Amino acid sequence: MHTLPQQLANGLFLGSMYGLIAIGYTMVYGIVQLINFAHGEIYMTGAFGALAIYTNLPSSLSIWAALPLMLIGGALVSVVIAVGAERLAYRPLRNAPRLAPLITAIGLSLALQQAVFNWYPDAKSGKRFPQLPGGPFHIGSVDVQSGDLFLLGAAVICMLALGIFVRSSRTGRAMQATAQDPDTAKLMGVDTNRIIIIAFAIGGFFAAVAGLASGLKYGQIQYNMGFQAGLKAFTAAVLGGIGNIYGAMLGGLVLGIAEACATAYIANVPGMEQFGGGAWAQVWAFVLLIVVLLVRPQGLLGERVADRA
Amino acid sequence: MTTTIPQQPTPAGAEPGGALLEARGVIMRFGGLTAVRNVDLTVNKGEIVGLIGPNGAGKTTFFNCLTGLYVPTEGTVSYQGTVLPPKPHLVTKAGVARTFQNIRLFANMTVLENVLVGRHTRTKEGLLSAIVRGPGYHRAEAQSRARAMELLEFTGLADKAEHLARNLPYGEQRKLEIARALASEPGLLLLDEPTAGMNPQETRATEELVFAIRDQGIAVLVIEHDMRFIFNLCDRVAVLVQGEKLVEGSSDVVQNDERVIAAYLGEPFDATSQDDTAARETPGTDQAEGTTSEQENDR
Repeated sequence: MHTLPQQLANGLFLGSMYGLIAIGYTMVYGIVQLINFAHGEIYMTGAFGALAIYTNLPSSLSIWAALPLMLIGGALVSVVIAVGAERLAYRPLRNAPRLAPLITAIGLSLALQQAVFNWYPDAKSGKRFPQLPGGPFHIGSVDVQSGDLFLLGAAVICMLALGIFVRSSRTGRAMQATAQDPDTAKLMGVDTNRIIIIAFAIGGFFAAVAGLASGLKYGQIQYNMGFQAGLKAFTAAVLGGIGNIYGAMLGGLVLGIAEACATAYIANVPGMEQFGGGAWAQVWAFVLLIVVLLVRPQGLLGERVADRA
Repeated sequence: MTTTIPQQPTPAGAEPGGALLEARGVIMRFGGLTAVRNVDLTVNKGEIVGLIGPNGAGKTTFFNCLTGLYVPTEGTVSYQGTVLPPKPHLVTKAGVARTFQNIRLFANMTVLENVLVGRHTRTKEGLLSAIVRGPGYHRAEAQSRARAMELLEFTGLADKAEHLARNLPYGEQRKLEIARALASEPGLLLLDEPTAGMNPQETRATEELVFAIRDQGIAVLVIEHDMRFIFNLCDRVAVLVQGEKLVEGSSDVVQNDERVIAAYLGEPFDATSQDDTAARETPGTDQAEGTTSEQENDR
């Protein structure tokens, strides 16, 4: 279980999830320079949305048939909340000092947590999430769960689609233009409000995919799962260079692998025995962030922000 | 599905003299400061109109009112008889494009991508078709690229299409701004100091370019400090001083108007330099304009 390939695989799966969530942070930051601290809760509501669909489906339906419906349901919930937050909470504060939308985001995050805690049936403790049948698969010396495979596949497909979309579609180009200079983009005919909504919607969709995948992976979801995951994903986005979508994915992977390896190996280092294990994984994740930011303040793939002439 | 709107909304020579842009009584106040006072300006089809004035006269502010970046405190701006909405992207869609006094290209995108962003309002594409990438998507994308390349040929940047915009030399960045503005297929092009910081050859090349743009049936409104450039180019010149329109008329009328000379130089001219070639030929005047335009920052 503690072989290196196994740890790398664990890190890869964990990192894919961080990366998927990190996309939402990084896209929104890239375009409106807002750290959307409610994004972790958007991921959580995505998972609950998927579960709500599942519990209302006839139990005769197989999980494979239910999966697409769960994805659609979760995505719908997440996208509606993300876009609604933009429209109702962030847009009125677009020209306010930076601190105002930031505090709004934190407030929204608490409000969403409490809303699920109070109003989702029996959400006060963890909710059981359906599992994908099959597995664990043995690939060489590595054990893989089917939920992990779903997560990895979804992350790869989403990232490829996003990369193509941003690089070579009309809307993607408008998005890059808005990120670089919103006023000029407007004068070139880009409806920047629409672009901002699309950015929030894509972030919400990716978060819902991650929420569904995390339910399948861990078999349980909780009303407060968004806090920790959101914090990690935010760290991943900063690690990779906030504003850069490839950076978010890379940051997620690096963070995931670092966590998995730290959990398994730190305890083997002489004198560090007490710092190994899952309890310290969080600490090592942030140590890594600090070290990277000391060496490369702009993050792994981030560009130095040039002064505007 | 994707469609491209017909390429020239205002065909060359179609009823010349018809008013294209009409600004009526435009007033722009910022708190207690009135930057633009009651300015009327008309640009007709097929015309090149100049807008000059000392630093801080409100020229760029007036441009911002025309393009929806500012909502005028009072007054209206209409294009082809319809009042322009106060949203920049809708103004662009209606057919008014502009360039900037300080270059504002999308520095980290390629030259071609910059022009393609300029085509945003003239192309349509659903989110779905971008992901599915059907034949319609490829056709529209190819069309858009072909049109963008035409514009780069027109401005002489075709061989640099794949360069990053920030790596272009200064003069070519200015040209790219014009190409990007033309990509939205405007009926009226607003140029904000297109020759600022250019050497004489580059300025002449820009002059040719503006004439070529006019010959395509696009009216041009240009802010500039280079008087030789303005008086060579423009059919009509308006002078803005302290937010008010002081004079408007042909090049000859404007360059001989004492109030204009006074506004620029701050004192009446002596008799020797008041003959009609003075403003045009005196090298000293040109140099002075060159330096002021570099210092200018009247946003």
